[in-house]
Amino acid sequence: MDQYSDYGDNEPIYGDDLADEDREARPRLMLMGLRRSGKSSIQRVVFHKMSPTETLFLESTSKINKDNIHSFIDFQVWDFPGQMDFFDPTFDTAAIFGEVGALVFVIDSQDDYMEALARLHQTVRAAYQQNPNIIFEVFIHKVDGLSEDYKIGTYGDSRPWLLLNRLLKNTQRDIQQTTTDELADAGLENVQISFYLTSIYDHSIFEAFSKVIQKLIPQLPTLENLLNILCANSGIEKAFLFDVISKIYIATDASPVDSQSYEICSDMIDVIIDISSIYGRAAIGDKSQGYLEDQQDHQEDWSQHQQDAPEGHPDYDDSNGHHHLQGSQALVNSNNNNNNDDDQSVAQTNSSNHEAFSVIKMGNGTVLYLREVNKYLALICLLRAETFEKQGLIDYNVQCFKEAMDQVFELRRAEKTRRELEANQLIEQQQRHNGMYGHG
Amino acid sequence: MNREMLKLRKDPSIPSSAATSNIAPSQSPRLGLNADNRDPRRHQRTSPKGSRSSSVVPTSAVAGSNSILTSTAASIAPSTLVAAMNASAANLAGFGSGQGTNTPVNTTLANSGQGSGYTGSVSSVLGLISAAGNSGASTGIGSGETGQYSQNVLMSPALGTGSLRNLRGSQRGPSAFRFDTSGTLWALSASPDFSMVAVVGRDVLKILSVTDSGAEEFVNLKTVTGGRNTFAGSTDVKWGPTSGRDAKIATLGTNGPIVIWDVGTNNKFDRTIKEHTRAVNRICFSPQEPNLLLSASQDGTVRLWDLRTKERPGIVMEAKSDNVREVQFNPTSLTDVVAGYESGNLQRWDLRNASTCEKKFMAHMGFVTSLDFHPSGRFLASGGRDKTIKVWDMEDEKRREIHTIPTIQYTTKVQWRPNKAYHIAACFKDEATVQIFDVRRPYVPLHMLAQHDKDTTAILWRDSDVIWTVSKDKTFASTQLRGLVSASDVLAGGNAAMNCYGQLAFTVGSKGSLETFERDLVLKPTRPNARPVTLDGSPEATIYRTRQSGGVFECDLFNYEAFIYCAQNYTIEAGKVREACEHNSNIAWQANKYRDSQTWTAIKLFYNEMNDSAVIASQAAADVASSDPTLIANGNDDKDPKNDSGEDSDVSDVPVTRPAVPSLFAIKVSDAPVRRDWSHLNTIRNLLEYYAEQGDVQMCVTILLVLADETDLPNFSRSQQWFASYIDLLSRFKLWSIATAVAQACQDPGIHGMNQDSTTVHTSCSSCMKPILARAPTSTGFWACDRCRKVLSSCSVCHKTVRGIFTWCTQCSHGFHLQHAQEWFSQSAECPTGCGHQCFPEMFKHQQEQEQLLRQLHQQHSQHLSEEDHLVHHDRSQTLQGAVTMELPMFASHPSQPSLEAMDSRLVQSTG
Repeated sequence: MDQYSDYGDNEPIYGDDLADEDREARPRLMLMGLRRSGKSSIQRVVFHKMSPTETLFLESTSKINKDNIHSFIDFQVWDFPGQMDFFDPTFDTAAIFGEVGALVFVIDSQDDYMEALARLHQTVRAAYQQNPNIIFEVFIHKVDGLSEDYKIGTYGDSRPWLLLNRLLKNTQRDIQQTTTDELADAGLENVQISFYLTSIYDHSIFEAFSKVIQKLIPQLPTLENLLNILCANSGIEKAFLFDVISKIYIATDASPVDSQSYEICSDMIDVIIDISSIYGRAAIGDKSQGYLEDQQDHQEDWSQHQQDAPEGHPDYDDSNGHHHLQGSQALVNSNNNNNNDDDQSVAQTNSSNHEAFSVIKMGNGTVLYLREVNKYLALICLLRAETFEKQGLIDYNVQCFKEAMDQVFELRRAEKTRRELEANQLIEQQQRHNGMYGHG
Repeated sequence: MNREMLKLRKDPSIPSSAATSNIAPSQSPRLGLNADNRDPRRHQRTSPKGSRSSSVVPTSAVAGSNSILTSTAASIAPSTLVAAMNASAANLAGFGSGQGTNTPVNTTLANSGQGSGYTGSVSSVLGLISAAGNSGASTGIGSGETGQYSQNVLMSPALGTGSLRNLRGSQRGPSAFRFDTSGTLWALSASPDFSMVAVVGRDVLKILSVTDSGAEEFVNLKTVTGGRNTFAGSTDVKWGPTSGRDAKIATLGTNGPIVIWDVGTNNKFDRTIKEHTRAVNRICFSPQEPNLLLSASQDGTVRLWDLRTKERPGIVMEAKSDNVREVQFNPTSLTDVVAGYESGNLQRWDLRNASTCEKKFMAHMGFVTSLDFHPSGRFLASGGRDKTIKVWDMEDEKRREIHTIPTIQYTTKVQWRPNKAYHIAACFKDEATVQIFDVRRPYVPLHMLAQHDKDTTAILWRDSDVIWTVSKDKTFASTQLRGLVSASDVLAGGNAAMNCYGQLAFTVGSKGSLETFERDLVLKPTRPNARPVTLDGSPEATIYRTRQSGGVFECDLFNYEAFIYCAQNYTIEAGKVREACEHNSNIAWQANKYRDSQTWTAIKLFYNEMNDSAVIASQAAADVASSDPTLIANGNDDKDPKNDSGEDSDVSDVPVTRPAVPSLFAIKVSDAPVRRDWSHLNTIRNLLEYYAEQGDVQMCVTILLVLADETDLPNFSRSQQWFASYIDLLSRFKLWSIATAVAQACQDPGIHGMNQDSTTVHTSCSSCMKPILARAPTSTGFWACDRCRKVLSSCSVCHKTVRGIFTWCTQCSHGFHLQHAQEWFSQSAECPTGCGHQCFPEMFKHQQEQEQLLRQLHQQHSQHLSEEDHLVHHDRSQTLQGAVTMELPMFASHPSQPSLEAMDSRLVQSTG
């Protein structure tokens, strides 16, 4: 057994999670890959706001690290130690892969990736046998380092960006081709597998995670359509629905996502959170419902940015700490990276809704419009300044959008309570039956 | 003006006149006199009138370069540029006006250039270059065209978006018209006979009837729906291939449904298709079967609809979890369909077998934004988020593009031009211009159309000369291409660049007009047996080559040999001023720098114990320094006869003993009044300032370094600039080690820190000099070169890659495993490669030298051997006798810069 010391001291592999009743509502996301490929770094950067440079000091993961993300959708991230051999017969693959929604396999692109590919194919085969519904995602990771090497600039070709482009594409193409061929040979053509080039030093990892998470959200088509309609009716160029904690966008309208728009929106969230942590107040008597039943043990919330809230504040709920982004009436000059000229950020409180909204006008005539949708989600729209002249219209439309979202999730909750009710009735019935038989 | 400037070549010869489009000289310190955006007026404005542009020695090297200026030269760069241009122009003129005549004209030109300021002379210079190019036609450099390009000879031919953007606005074609609709437009599609066009957008759903001269609204389909189907907008529209009574159009509502309109008899709403679970991105009618419609959706499926039935589609092509962005029928086939996906893949489907795709390959990084089949049906153009348009040969098994066009933004639509096999039009995100490219000339568009004020969202060729566009500025526009100015007409073909060896490379180009375009196509180099791929079916593949003539011109502005010799041999050690001055004086003498040699002698005398002789000597030196400006002002070097005589003689011929210098001072001493109330520091300051004005940062820096330990030396505000530019100059001549040593020796923290600052060590392949990307994902990993496929650092005995400790002979540079070397050299003294080198005795000798050196170093407690600074250890206990052992930098990066010559020349290129 000593080879399984990886798992900790005789701790069951998935611990008390089996007892977790909420399990089906909690899609599981697995991070796998060879050792030192960057799995834990990804997890820390995306879900724990660790600065990318700090990840250098992360120790190697020695046991499965389960991380419950309490956010718009609840999911679990399982960070697997790279050196783990889960193909050992004593390893319960059925239990591991049975419940997984998506399996993220991380490949270090700076390393020789042939070994990683072999491992990937092995993993896909094993997992697919257990659970054909798994979505496989391959992150070709650490692509930032590649660009660095290509920045040396000692090449005859004077267009390094073309070279870099070619290199990255060749890498991706190579990995993709090998994998597809390999899987086809194994008779697994139908496996869903997608590839992303990622790096923790820029937004690519968030973008890739966005796409991964989106596949796990059953309401995505509805949300997307709602956003489409919102965009078309309000003259918005691009709209994102962001999960504020992780800066992942869980839905966007159908027009192509261009990385700059994503980046600027993501930066905007940072700015707003920073501002609200300075000027924000704790929520007062706000018991607005989240969309999640499970409201206990919020380790991650917007409140983590509000740790400095006055202690004696009557309504400051330290343990639960769930606040809305309650911007004060502060007028702040933000130093937005993309546009230092004359950006103005106006954080205002809309007192009737207890919800934050913020507008940043950029020098190039684009307006960023952020509106809190619920405690986890924020809607960010990119629009032209001339469209924004009709701000009333946009406000109204966004309000409609919010109501529509409420309905979408109300439906889900209603569905769930209905099912629970039915289950309870069933149990009661059975008990009654049992009772009857007992009497008989 | 420095006298070196004036030494124009008496007999200028053009070393190379081969036609070249890449005009930068191949020497790596490029300093492109890359004069884009530098029009003559700017020169006039920025030339400091008062400055005698005398700093040519170092700055001629940096003149005109865009960003590399770091030094004192910065302020005078533009004028230096002009000066350099003057000189070279004079040369050119001399050349152009006939080789036979001698060069008085050259000298006068150059003199006037420097004497009378630069205003006014610039344009003449520009004219001169082009004139020289033209008249050179008879001798093979010019292009033979008349001098129309004299005005913009300095415009860069490189495709800068910025410069091309300036072309906008003047490009409204002759028979162009616009039609204003009421809303932002997103797509258009024309009826088969091109008499009608359907335009859709936000709140717009209209059919326009179009003639050659204008358009008018034919019907507004929005009103037809009677408010029943108030779709907020439509993102795509396609006109079915039938006309007349059966005419149908299909539009895409923003919220998902595909709407079919019957526009043949009376305009009516036909039906709505809402099968897709997510938004539909693109629809496409089959060109052959009018009732078949493809739809590509976010839900990852491509569905085929038969409009004759109301049933669900029989054919669903499903990509696994990949949103479909684009789909198109092959125009020559009934069943061939290509779809573009958000992952960057292209998939080819056959409608007869919809269960799996026929072919799948990665086309772009990021999503595919646009697709268009070539009319031949064989080729496909795709645009992607990676800002390229790529052309694919769909019949080729290799998944490689045959053409790539880099674009300014990602394309939102591409379309091949009818009847022009190589032409393709594209419009871009957030970009109002439409560009038309010839794929054989990917960097310069043929045409840039600026019909719109805001982003052009869709394009459509009416015929090969008329293009229709719609835009977010709510207008539909038609543009006639015939007679339009081509973007390539406006670009100049001339350019010039200069390197640090005083070579001016220039091109004079004919303007690539549309008429001459076909003439300028040359055969595309392909592998011998490869079948050429041509889009128009012609037997030979061609690419465009600009008709340019170029040459390299030896301007001889800067005596770089002396500079290099001095840089290599000057001592910069502080503390021993007298010895250092003595040494440097000798070196300068050997390099024919007699004045510098005298300077060194004078400095030496200052620091000769402070006695009378020093006083007298310094007075003499002060005289030298003060008299120098007059020498320059006269523009005449005759006062220094040795200088001219020694100029052309070989360095080795110069006698090392110099009786002349002491005697010179002796004479001055005799008649100079002895003053005791002076400070030699003033003299030193004057000296440094004199050299700084000369632009001789080498002297400034070396003097500063040698006198670094003299505490009474004043601070020079510009010393940091001197250091920076000297180091810059050294790097330019690839004297990396010297540059490092200078930076190391400098006491200024800013300069000293350069060695600590983001220093990385890159390992290059020893045979092809390509950097080894240790972390690059190659199948061979770190141990072999990707390009030349040679094993790196192989053992000469077993021919395997040496991992770990690599030992090599420092003379013949063959390397071994330590153990193998020991075994081999216990039996033989000769190198195992058979190079004939007697490694062992040499090594032995070398070892003795080293031991001696080590002993010395230990005595001096030199810090130079600390492990921190050296990648290479001299560790005798571990290594073979005398050989140098080096730990291969597996993930090469080291906090400080190694300063060993061996690595410098063989393996390592450092960037500071």
